[in-house]
Amino acid sequence: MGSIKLSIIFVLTLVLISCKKDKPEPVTINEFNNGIVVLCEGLFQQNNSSISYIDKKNESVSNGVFNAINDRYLGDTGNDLLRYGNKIFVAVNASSTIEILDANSLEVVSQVVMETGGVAKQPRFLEPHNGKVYISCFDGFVDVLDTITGSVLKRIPVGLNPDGMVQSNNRLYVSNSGGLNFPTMDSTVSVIDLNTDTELTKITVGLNPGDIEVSSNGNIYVVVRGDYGVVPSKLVKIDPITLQTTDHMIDVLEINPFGTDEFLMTYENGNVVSIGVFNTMSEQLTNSDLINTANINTVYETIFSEHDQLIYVLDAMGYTNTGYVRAYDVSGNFVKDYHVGLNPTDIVVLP
Amino acid sequence: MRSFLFLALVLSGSVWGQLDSVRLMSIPSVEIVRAIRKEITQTRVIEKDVIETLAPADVGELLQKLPGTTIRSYGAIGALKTVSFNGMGAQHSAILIDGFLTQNLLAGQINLSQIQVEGIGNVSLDDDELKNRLLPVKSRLSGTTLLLGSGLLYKSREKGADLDINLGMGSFDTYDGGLRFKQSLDRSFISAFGYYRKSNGDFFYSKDNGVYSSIERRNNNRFEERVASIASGIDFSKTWSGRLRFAGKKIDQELPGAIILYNDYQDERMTTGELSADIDIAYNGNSNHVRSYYSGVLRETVYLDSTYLNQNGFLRNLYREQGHTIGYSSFHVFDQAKLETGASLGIETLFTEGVHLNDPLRATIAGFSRFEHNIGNWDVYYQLGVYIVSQHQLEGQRNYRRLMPRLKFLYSGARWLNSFELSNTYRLPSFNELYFGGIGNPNLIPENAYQFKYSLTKTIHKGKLRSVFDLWMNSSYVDNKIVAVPTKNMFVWSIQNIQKTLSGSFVFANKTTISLKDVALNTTINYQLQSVLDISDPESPTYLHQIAYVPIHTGSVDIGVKAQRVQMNVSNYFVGFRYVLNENIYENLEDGYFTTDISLKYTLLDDQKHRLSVQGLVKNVLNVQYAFIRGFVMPGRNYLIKLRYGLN
Repeated sequence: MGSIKLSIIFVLTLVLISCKKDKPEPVTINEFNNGIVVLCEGLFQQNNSSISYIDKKNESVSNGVFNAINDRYLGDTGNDLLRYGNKIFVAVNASSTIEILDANSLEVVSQVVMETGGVAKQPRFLEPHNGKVYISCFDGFVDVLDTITGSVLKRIPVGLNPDGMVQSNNRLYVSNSGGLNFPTMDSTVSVIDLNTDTELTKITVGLNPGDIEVSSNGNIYVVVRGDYGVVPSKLVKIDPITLQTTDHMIDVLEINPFGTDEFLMTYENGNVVSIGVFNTMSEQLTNSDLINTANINTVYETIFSEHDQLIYVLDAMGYTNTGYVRAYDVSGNFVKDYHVGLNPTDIVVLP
Repeated sequence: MRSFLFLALVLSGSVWGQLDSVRLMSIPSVEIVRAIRKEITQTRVIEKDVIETLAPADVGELLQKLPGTTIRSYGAIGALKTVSFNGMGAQHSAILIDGFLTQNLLAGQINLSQIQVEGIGNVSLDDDELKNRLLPVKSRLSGTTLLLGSGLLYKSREKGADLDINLGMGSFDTYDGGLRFKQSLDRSFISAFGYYRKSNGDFFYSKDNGVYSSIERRNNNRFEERVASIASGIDFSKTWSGRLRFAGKKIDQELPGAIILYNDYQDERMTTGELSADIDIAYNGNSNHVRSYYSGVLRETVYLDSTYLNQNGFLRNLYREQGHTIGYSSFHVFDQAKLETGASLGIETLFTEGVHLNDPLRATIAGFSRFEHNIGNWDVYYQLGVYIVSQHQLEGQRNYRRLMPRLKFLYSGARWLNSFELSNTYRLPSFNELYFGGIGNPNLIPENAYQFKYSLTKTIHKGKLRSVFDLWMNSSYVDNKIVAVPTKNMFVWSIQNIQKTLSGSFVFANKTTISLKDVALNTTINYQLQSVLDISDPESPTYLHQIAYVPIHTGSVDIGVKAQRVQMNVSNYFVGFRYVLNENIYENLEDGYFTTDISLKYTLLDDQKHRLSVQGLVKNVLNVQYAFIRGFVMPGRNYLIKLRYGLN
């Protein structure tokens, strides 16, 4: 009986899939406010990075917004999204471009091609400071971009394949992942003086540093990812004065600021991915399961929005299916989810 | 070694033992039935003159003319091409050249663009009547077997020398030249083959980006290959014979990679060097036939990416593979039955530099026993195959064993053939899947496939018309399918046994020939409807969705006319829409395409001693912009001129 049922399902499915999927209706959005801009990374070599827009006024989702507004595609592997002033910056890693958009219309103001000597720089993350945007580039530099002219003012050499960045006290801390040098990755964090845009020193933190954040008391926390096998991941604290490091042996995947003295922490507990709260004063996981992850397929990013006091979990759905932005309140209660594009990796909440 | 002997003993002895109790009826027309079967399987065969007329760039381009095939192509000359049959993965197919198995230990699937079509004289899909050739064991255990024949490993019927020379030039600054020589004596032959091709490979294509379109140059396509082989064979007596072949190959190519918007800075290249040796000794008695064989291959592949952003500023990976297989196949023919057995031992090793595969070694013992008997118009086949595999590398050892039953019924009418087949096959994980640094998974187990095939073949002879109709229906269920999935993040992938697929396909093929006084008209039509569905997880958004890059519709229509010295062929190929990822949504949709090639051949000279012909081809006449894999565009309209000379 089971096989008969399966055969019927199979034939019906064959009939259904024999029809081509229709093109979705074109996007028409009049104003971008009270909404969320979602960067969807897409998949490498597919040229399918995209931007989705969640309109909070009517709780609707528009996918493929960048293409609809600008009549061209965003590119391949969009990694980071940043609102700075009245502009939105997008780092598109494999395409090696920075797209500068008008924050009110999402129209492209300019595209910066990130290339040097015939080699793609592969921009990864963005950090704003004093009218400039600092761009970690996989070719071993942090580029300083003038936000007015869109030109690169300076290239600061750092470590291998720089990744996450955070600024504190006029210094920029840059994780040098060395991810493209597997299995002998980099293990340092570069410290850059933002007055002179020069590297002051490198701090050894452990194999494959990635996500990096600053706590309210000025300490720097780095997610050190290890080799995804023998060397486990951990959280490393850097004292900004002494530059001494302290290890916290938690199998951490990522951290994000959550209120004043806390981080949202995504970590692995055995084979289960959990989202908890890490208190930077007590340096303890004060809530090991803030959000029930049973209904989340692939936690890709967790972002707390001060504006609407919601936690947004970006669910990559196995990385090969279109994803979801899932909203939770500060107590971890589910609020709503939104079906967006492939691999949602970052958001900007527009007031 | 003890296992090997034990296996051979068990597989041979147990079935031989059963034979005493098999009582068989005698049908004197068996040979006639076999001849009819050979005729009605013509839709699954491509002969030498058709290969010459099509003048494909490689074997991949040729195989798309066979029914039930799906070719994945990653670009123009030299780019990766693989073939899969009946909705199963490419690794479920065995490809044999002159009865010897081709191997790729690293990827587990053969890159068809590295098999030079000028060295191929005929192609056929597996069929039981064609398998009376004592083929290697692994072909008996695979889902589908593809037989390529060079014509250089057999003695010609008539003594003397044969020489074929071909020269070609075409678009993309492509030049090629090949030479085939064979000297046949009373009881022996010697043959040689050499081929050289060089191509700049760059071509223009239309890059579409939203509403914008621009004409761009597809760079970094340079390709150069050199191939040589020498072979010899001898009949030691009326029943004993032996053959050997040594071959070498060197391919130096640039890899254009996928088109990435706004980034045209890739600079990847690959060199492949290969040495191979194939030796066999066969005994062909009245009722006993035995062949023992050895195949060995040494292959070195160097991959270089000069723009890779690691510490060196470039990526250079070296893979040095060795594969050695010894084995035997045999069959004993009774009045109305046949017993076939075979066993082989394969040793495969891999050494790498720049990438971490931990120098694995794999030993594989494979065996099968197959009993076939004939009752009236029915042939029934029972087969039991076995794999015993032992894998070693620095981090440990893993062993597994698999039994693979297969059952087939075949009913022959006067001009038609009906067959049903149930089989269970496995495909072993490749070295890449097992050990590739950071991605490989040494705990992988073989992919397991259950397959049902039904085929109905009918011939029609009416006056000058001969037509063969072939209809197949296949269904398969694949468990523990080996797939690459991202795990920790987008950049950290892992190979896992997680997918289940259910597939069904319907294949129609027809080959018709009309022979008039001075004109011969032939047509070949193939159509395939196939569905390969993901049934891994009912909660997944891809449940019951078509697997990526499996087109639902594929087909080809070829029309050829031969009138005295002129031969013209129009060849059409169609691939329907498919999805680039398993989620069947519009964003993942890749449109289908339809291409047409036209060939015109004029024979300048054809007497008993000399043959000389000139041929012109226009490929992709309609200048269609197409790609099988998203981002890997294919060339538009292009040209080729071929000059062939033969001396008997």
